[in-house]
Amino acid sequence: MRMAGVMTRCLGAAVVCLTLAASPQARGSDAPPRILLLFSHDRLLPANIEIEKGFRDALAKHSAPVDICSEFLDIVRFPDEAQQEGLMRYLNERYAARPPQVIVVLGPQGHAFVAANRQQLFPDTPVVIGAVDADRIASEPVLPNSAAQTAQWTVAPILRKLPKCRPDLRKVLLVAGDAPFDHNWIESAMADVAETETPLEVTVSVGEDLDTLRRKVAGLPDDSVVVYLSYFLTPDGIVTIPRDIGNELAKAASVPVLGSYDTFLGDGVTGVCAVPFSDEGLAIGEITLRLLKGERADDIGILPPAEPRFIFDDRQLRRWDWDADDLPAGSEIRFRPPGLWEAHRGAVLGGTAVLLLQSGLITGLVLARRRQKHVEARLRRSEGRFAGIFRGSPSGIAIVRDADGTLVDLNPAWEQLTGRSRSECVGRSLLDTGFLIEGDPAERLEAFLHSGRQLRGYEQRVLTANGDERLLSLSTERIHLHEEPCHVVMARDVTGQREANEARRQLARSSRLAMLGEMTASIAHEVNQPLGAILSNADAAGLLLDRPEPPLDAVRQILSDIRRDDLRASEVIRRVRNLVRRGETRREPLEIPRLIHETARLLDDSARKRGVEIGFELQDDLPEIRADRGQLEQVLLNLMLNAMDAMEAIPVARRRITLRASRLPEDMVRITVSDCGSGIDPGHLDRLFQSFFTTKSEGMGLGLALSRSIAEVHGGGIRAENAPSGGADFHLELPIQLPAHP
Amino acid sequence: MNMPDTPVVHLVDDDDSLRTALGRLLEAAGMSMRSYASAADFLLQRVEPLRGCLVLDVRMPGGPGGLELQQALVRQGETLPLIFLTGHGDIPMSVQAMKAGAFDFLTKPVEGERFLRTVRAALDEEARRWTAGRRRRELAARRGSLTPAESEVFTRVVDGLPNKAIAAELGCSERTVKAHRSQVMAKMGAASLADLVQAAGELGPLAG
Repeated sequence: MRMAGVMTRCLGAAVVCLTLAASPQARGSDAPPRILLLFSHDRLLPANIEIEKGFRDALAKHSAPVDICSEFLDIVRFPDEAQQEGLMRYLNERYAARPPQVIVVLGPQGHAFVAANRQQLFPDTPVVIGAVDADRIASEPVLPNSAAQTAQWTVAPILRKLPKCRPDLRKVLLVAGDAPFDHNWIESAMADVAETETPLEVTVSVGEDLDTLRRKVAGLPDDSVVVYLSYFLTPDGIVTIPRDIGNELAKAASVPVLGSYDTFLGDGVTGVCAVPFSDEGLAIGEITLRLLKGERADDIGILPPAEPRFIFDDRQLRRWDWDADDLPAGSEIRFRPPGLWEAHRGAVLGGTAVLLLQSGLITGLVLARRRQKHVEARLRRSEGRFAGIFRGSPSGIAIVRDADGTLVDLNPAWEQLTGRSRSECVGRSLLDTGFLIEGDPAERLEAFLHSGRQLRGYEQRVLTANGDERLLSLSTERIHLHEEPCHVVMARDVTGQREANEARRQLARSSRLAMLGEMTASIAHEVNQPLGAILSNADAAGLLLDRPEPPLDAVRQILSDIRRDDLRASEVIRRVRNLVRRGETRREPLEIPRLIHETARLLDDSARKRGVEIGFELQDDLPEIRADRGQLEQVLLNLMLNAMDAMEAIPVARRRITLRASRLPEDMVRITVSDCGSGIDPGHLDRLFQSFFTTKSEGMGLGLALSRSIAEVHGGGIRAENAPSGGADFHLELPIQLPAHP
Repeated sequence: MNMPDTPVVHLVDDDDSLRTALGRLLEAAGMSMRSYASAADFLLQRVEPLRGCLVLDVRMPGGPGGLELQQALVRQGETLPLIFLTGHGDIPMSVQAMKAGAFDFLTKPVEGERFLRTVRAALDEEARRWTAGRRRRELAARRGSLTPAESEVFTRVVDGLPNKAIAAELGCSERTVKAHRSQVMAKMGAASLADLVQAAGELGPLAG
């Protein structure tokens, strides 16, 4: 076995030798390895300079010196394929004597060039691809014997992170030039916009001439920011250096300019979100090092892009008054001025003596001033945030001064809800702005604002400027603005939800009431049949009696049929009232307070929407009663709904239902539902509980009649009276013990 | 029993007293009527041809309803005018009925005057349709009596071709064409070319 071991080792050594012999490093090992660095753009592009710097730094770590040759495709000046062929010939001729060990190509255009001409350009040399978009590389066939350090140029981090730190920002202008590269950038940026679903409003300027662009950025509103992508070519065909264009824009702009390359920083651009180019160069250089050391390019493969970071220019931050606290976490700030100590050492030492003399007074003043500035800054920031929320809220917000009911301010959403601009409305009262619907509780809403109550989800119909009627859900809150009492009114458009809410309300009601609605159709049908027969019989009789010799027997038969049908109709009506008496009454012990509260809760939603307050005055230690829960619920719901209906026409502030429960002598309890409406017409008092009596245009007139039936079945009764303070009281009186079934 | 061709008001309603009352009203107004207690009864007992109009309740629980009967009649190609009686809450059904081709609908309880007026209008309409239909049936019968050769000539004559052209197309003599032509005129009962073209038009696009 020792023999086998030695054999294996020899074989192994032989294999290694063979491999070494085959590797490119074996060629010309005395001359330093040559690296061909192929750039897509021209020599002076700042990005190129930075990348090369990083690249050289990486290669400085190599054990032996390296020969780096840089060539420039200058693709913007020379985009034609014919010119590329010339370049290829040039490269082949130039490097024929000593071909490169590694070809490093930077940029998508260069990558395309190499890929297209792979067989003609040192086909056996490994290729390192850099500064190319990760998605782009993934979508193309993999170049054999190549490795890549991909990059990602995206505005997504800016779109995502900036609104969080600076909520006052609402608009973004994307800027790019007229070169194909610029256009591609815009496309990819728009894809980022779509992907991040940013709330910011994005507009685009692509391929516009510089004068127009300068004017555009000079006239931007305060809540916007410019994101400058690249500008390689003007629409007239002049080649430009993107960084210089960036600086010009930053100088002309009325708002901060952000970019996506770190090479843009330093002369006016406020900040960038990027992977510094020198870092890119470093990474590409490190791959090259690995290749020089003998790794196979295919083994290294395609490396993912690095994470970009935010880098800001301190001088610009100061220009725009951007607080360092408001920047995304992990932001780097460059171009800070040197500290006091570093810059003015001498003066500080000299002045210390003077300071020490006056230290007491001066220190105190300085500290106080700084504290105040800090507080002011915090206040400004929080006001800024409030302003941001106010402006950006999707709900309409308006501030009304209590003293005279005038509008102090309103936000864009309010403008949109009402169709009226801020300038039209500020300083005028709600009513004057024609906003509320007249004849409705419009003035009452105003009166309400003085009453001291808060609204929550109160529904108010409003008329917009172009005549549409909308339903708004309003909530109010009292605040003090500059020491003046005001109300903040928040409004949401719920016009579309009204139908949905109606349906839900139906379901929330007592199931028996819902059934009553269903029964209405069949009740009506059953009553209409006999009524129809009666009418037609009468008409027929009329015709028969017009004849010269009226057939009296036939007429008698008709009259008899009429009578029969009349009885039939009355029977149907009696059946409806008897619905309750069909032995369905259950008896269970009921706690009155719980019954009242739970029933009131069923109507809570309704009450809020109609601005009705519900109050409870329930005696302590009320006895339990034995009754049918569902039926009593039905009665209470009916009484409460009637009460709410009765108060439709009075001011919101006064709408109040009071539910009372008390014990009466002789083992009775009384539940009273009181409203603040206009009371019951004395002429109607006696007919109130009759079937089919109603003052409502769409009422069936069965509610109170049914309620009385239910009360009677329980051995009690219902009566109504007008309250001395206005409004009506409905008393439901029930015995504690149910009588034996009659 | 009424003569088969006399227009009759067919009354279908499952409510006995209403059916009786309406029947009385129709007869008091001098109209012939037949009543049925259900849609099924009507379909089983009906006479051919169906002349007059049909008054039916849209809602007849416990069997086919008015709308179903309407659909059945439509499927059978029956063109009798339908008058629906509807009660409270049946508006959607009424709309459906009208869209499916009902003549009119009345809500219960229905006023006598109105009822009779609507029925008379329906009967008038039916009479109009019947007459128009009869003429078409007659023309179709006549057309069917033409020989193949005569049929070929008929088609070309109403297209406006002169005899010479027809002869050339059919490959026969002008004299033969003329002979066929006079046969066609006789069989179709046309006194002139204008009449013949009119008849062709009434027969519809299938005439040619």
